[in-house]
Amino acid sequence: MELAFAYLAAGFGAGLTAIGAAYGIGRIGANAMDGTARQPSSAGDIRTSMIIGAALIEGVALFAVVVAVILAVK
Amino acid sequence: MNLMLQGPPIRARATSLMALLLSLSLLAPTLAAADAPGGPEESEQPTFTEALWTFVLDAPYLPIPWPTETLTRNIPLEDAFGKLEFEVAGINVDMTPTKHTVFLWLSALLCVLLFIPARRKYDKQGVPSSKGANFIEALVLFVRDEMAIANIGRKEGPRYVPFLLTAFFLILFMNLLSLVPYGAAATGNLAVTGALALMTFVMTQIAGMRAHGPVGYWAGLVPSGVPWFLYPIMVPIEIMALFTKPFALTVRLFANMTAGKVVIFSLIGLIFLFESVVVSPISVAFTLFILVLKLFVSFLQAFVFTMLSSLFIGMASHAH
Repeated sequence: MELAFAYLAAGFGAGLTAIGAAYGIGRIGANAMDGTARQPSSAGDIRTSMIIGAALIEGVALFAVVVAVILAVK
Repeated sequence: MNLMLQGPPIRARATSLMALLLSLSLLAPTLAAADAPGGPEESEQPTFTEALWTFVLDAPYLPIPWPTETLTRNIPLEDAFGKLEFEVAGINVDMTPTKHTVFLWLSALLCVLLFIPARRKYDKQGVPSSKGANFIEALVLFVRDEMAIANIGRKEGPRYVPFLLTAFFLILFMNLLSLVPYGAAATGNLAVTGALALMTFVMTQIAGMRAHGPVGYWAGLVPSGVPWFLYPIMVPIEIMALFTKPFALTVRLFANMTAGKVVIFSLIGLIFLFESVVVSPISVAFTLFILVLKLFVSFLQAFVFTMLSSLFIGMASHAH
């Protein structure tokens, strides 16, 4: 019974993490496109900052994934 | 709950010649993985999850092409290199090479074989003379100008270019070797990515201590202007932040390389779950798409690792 709840928590955790990360990366992508359209000459800088921001969000999401994996494997 | 791989042996399923031809190169490592665990004494077929883990995780043998029914022969690395197991301070350390170790060596060898002659030729001629040399020069200049100089600074940046270039190309080659049939991603191993992130961590500390002096760096961990009563909170947080950065680097690279393999395994596994050849063209088409995506991710993750490394070095060496 306890194990089943751990699986449930891990599943919910992974799903909620995906929602959060998708929202964050979506906002970054949308704003980067917006910025590039307004200022095409700085497209390179915007793309670099976008990838760094997305990578940092991904890092936070991966922390949550690690927690979910620990829950599921335990 | 394990999904069983049921029914007749795998080789009897691929009745459609077209599907067989298409999926052969993609399937070979998967079949090897399904064949791998236990060996002859374990005659029953592995469960879906067991096959997945043998496909994704490290193994003590090296699969090579071989004209058997699984098109694979697993060479035990223990026979080739001997068992390197010893005890350090009561802890058993097993240094026997594994599949991932071999691919790590292979990518290091590729780096050496590619860049030492390239450097020698470049010194002699002064300009890149072929398409390959131009491509390499573009990547090297990108690492130097867009990462090192942009994030660390014009004066200090070039000092860290050798480290960043080594990290970039080693990770890139390890990632790309996973796309070769019978290949494996050494970056899909927490030990490998952890060691790489440890190098970044050490470089970051050295950069900080070089720029501010050993005392000044550790004293400057907490930003100036913080009221004294916040120190009990700020000091642990700043020290934790030191370690979360390399940890995030470790997990990011590992998770990205492993996720691709899991997706590919699942797509190929659909054929055996549905037990019909009708699924195989769809599976193979999607797998091809994922493989192209993995090609992009290989470059992207090498870029992200190097970019963040240079960013951390720059953050440590600049004044707070």
